Amino acid sequence: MDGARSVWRQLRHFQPAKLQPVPYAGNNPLSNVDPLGLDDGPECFEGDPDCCDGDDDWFECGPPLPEGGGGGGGGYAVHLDTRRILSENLGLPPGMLVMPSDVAAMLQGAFGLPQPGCEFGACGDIFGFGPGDDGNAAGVINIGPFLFYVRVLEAEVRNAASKKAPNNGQPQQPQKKPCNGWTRAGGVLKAVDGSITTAAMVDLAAIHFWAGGFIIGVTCFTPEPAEPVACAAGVFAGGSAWAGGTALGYGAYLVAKDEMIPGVKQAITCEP
Amino acid sequence: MRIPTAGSRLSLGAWLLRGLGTYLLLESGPFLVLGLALRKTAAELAGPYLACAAPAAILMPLVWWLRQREERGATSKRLARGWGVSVALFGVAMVVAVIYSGVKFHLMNPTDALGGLVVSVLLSAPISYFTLYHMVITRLSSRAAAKGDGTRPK
Repeated sequence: MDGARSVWRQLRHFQPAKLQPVPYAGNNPLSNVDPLGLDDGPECFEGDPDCCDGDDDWFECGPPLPEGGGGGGGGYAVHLDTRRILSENLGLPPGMLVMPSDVAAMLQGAFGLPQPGCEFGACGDIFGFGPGDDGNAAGVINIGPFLFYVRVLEAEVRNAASKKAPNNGQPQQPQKKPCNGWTRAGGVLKAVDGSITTAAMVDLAAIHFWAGGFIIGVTCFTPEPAEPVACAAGVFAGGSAWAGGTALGYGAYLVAKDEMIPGVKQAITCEP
Repeated sequence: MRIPTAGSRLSLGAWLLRGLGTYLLLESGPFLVLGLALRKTAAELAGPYLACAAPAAILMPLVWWLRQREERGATSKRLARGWGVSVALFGVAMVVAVIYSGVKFHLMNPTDALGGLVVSVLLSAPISYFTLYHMVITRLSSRAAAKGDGTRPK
């Protein structure tokens, strides 16, 4: 696990803003103020009351938030403010939606979104794990079914659209497209798109399966004395991760079958 | 003083009663939500509910057995293999249960489900086996080091 932990630590301290740095105001001159031009990194700027004492970086203490809680703008795109986003989407004035921070964090965690102080996946005391690496595994559990249902919804919409196509009740004849370079290029694009999506889904499924095994191992193997209730809860949480992984595996299979392989066929045979 | 573990403390029946009871209770929540969301009757939910309970019913006795073997001083590698195989079995059972439920709830096409099953099983079994194998070896080694006997795990 030490190897995984060290990779995780490196990921946590990975700062995308440093890939193409603009020295002024932490690569975000529209939102941040740096009158003396002395701040050279994505650290804390004026307008952020809680941060920073100089040693904390952006990943530890979060981005500068706009005053009053609403109005948008400011901060780095990676870090989400659930309260502000919900307020804006519901059309509420700034500050009206009062939400306990742990509820906001759980909402973000439930969708596998970054949480304050923990930029990748859920962290904090979700599923009974304390803050730290273990909690992050729980955050990815919910992505799988979510993506899967989006995929199912998409397929349903496509089916409904094809059924409703006006053709005087006659079955639609597939239109033959001319075979040329564009057709082949379309196939290549389809194959590339399908391959990337399949790879991403397989990757996410692998993370889910790994997280499931890890959670079961932690809850059933480590405690002394062994506690059946904790083990059962871990098996349930691990099972949820497995369910997500299964859904992703199924989705990856569908994408490979419907997008990647037809794309390769189209690129080779020139038949759409 | 030696810390008592489940092997010496709980019988298999008591372990299963508490562990599986908790699992089934936890499982009933999501199924209640599913039943309301998909408008399914109790009879329609029964099959998937039992299918999703099966992986836990397979894993929990295996966990009890592995803790017993640990108590009796089984070697680290044997324990690690045991944990790996148990969780891989759990994973395969869970994959089958989820895909079966998906087909029963008409969320998955039965023909596609077979391909999805193969992909998910191929992904899950090795990942879970090696995750647990590595985890058990690491933890047993660090436990042995903490005890200060200085010996390598058997």
